[in-house]
Amino acid sequence: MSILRYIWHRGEGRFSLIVLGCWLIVCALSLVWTPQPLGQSDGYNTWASPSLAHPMGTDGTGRDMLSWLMAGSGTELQIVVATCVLAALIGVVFVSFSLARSGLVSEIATVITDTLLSIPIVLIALILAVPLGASILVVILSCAISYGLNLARIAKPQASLAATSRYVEAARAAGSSRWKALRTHVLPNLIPVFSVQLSICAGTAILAEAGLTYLGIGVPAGTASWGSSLSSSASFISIFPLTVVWPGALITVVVVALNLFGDCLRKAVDPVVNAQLRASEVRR
Amino acid sequence: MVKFVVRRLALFCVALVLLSVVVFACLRILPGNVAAVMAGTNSTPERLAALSEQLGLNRSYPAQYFQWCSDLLHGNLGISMLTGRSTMSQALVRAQVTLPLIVLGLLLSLIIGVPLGVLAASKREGGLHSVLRYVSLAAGAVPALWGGLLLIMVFGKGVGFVGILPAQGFPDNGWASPGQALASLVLPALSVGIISGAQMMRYTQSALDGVAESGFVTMSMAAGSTRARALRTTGLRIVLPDLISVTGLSFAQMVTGVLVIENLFSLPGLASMLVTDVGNRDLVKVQSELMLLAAFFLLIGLVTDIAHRIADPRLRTASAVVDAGSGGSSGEVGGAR
Repeated sequence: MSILRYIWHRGEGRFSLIVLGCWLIVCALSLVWTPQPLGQSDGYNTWASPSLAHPMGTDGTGRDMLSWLMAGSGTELQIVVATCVLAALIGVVFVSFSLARSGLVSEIATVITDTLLSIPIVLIALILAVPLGASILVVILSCAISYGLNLARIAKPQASLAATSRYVEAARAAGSSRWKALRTHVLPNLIPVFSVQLSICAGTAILAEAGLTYLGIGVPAGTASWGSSLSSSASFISIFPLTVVWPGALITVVVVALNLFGDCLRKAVDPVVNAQLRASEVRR
Repeated sequence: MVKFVVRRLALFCVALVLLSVVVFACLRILPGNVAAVMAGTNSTPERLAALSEQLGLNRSYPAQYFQWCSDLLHGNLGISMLTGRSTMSQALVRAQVTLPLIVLGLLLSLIIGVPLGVLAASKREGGLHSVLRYVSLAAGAVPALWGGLLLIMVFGKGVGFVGILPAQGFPDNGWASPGQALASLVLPALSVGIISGAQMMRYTQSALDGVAESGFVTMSMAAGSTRARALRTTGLRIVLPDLISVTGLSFAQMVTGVLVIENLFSLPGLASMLVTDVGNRDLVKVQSELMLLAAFFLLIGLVTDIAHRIADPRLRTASAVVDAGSGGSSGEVGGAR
């Protein structure tokens, strides 16, 4: 809670919290209400300019832009949450393996993280798209694999520092198993790094969704998402520029908010920058 | 150094084998019979049998895998089941569009990102500093598709406000007319380069901020140079190895954007070929194409790592420095994504 308060009291942090808060509210709202029903398409009213009935206009099949963007926020949230959870899981597993006692296991973990890091998300997505076809799963899995490995690499120095620390040594001497020491003394050290990186990962996932959906290997046609709203009107940019502006601007604002949130979170959990945190450490 | 290169080469080979198994397996867990998928729903049993025979699907998986590997090593990437043309020749033609686009985009991102990053780092406070910060934040968060569309709206021939650059297609005779070919790559390269340049700028700045407090820069300032100059000369040299690593990484990260941009500008590059083949489930072709691309990116990773090694003389003597020394900065590498 104190971390959230710290972020709220900074201008950029407040902006990011407001944007992310609105996102969650719209998600919840879209479950029960959208300005126009999603299935309804107004065939006589395609490419409409913004009006009272369609605040953001309509797209090429006469679907209400605002309603579809609202519904898309839910899809987007699913993708982001699933990607972050999975990426964190992959990160933790690989970090733990890289600390393993057996030289072979840690070597293999390092090989995988270091070399696979240069494989782009879209290539993983293309490989997965062959068996899975266009689906949300492709977006989630490819982002999670790519970012999970990145997480493992970033968190590794911190993890090995903690693993060789005195308190782990003390815990081991007091009889706790390696597994327990890892769980209670090493992994908690990684929470700050992970939380900061995951907010950036969330932004990457939203951008990747837009790209993969445009390429036809992301969110399937007919499912509402910001990427599909953007790509379905992309070919008509010269005639109806406005329909492209909304989803693009929305994605940009949310990704900026996620990045700013990550920046502020980094400052909030870093005792070197956050004097308050330092003071409370001393008091304790 | 030699030991490092040999070790890294060995890792490269291991990763290559690992990836080939993954690709092979991914294309075999398709529901149903592969031949049935490729031949279509209303094909005769005779045709199915012939296709299975031709693809070698009757043999065991390991046998198929080793056959494929040996074909790959001989440079034989197979023949498309749909068009009957050799994969290799098609891929090579397509790469003539994609590779220049990636390289141009990367060059632009370096030209934009590094100087602006240095500028932002040397101005600690004030209007310019915040303007640069917000511009880089916003530009780095733009989806490639949208960035390309906005550029078309401004500069696209026939559609934009200042219609000076071609927004669609690639000359039919390719690089035989270099001027036209280059002109048609300008807008795509800009779309990719600006977005990736913004990220490069954020990274350069945060890396320079990191060394600004170090003894190296203080020493240089004590010897009489200004802070900005000290950062430009001493600071930049110190963060060079990390910049190389980030450049290698952004190479991989740009690719999603590059494929999207290629489709948007209807360039006949690898993107349309890959997406069509994956959509068509042209398995023989997809399998070799994906492997070829994966090998290419692994190679980039290999080259980056070796260049990083060469640029950082500290790593040549002490291998123990690697973990301690790259710890702080690698966090920033991720931050720049």
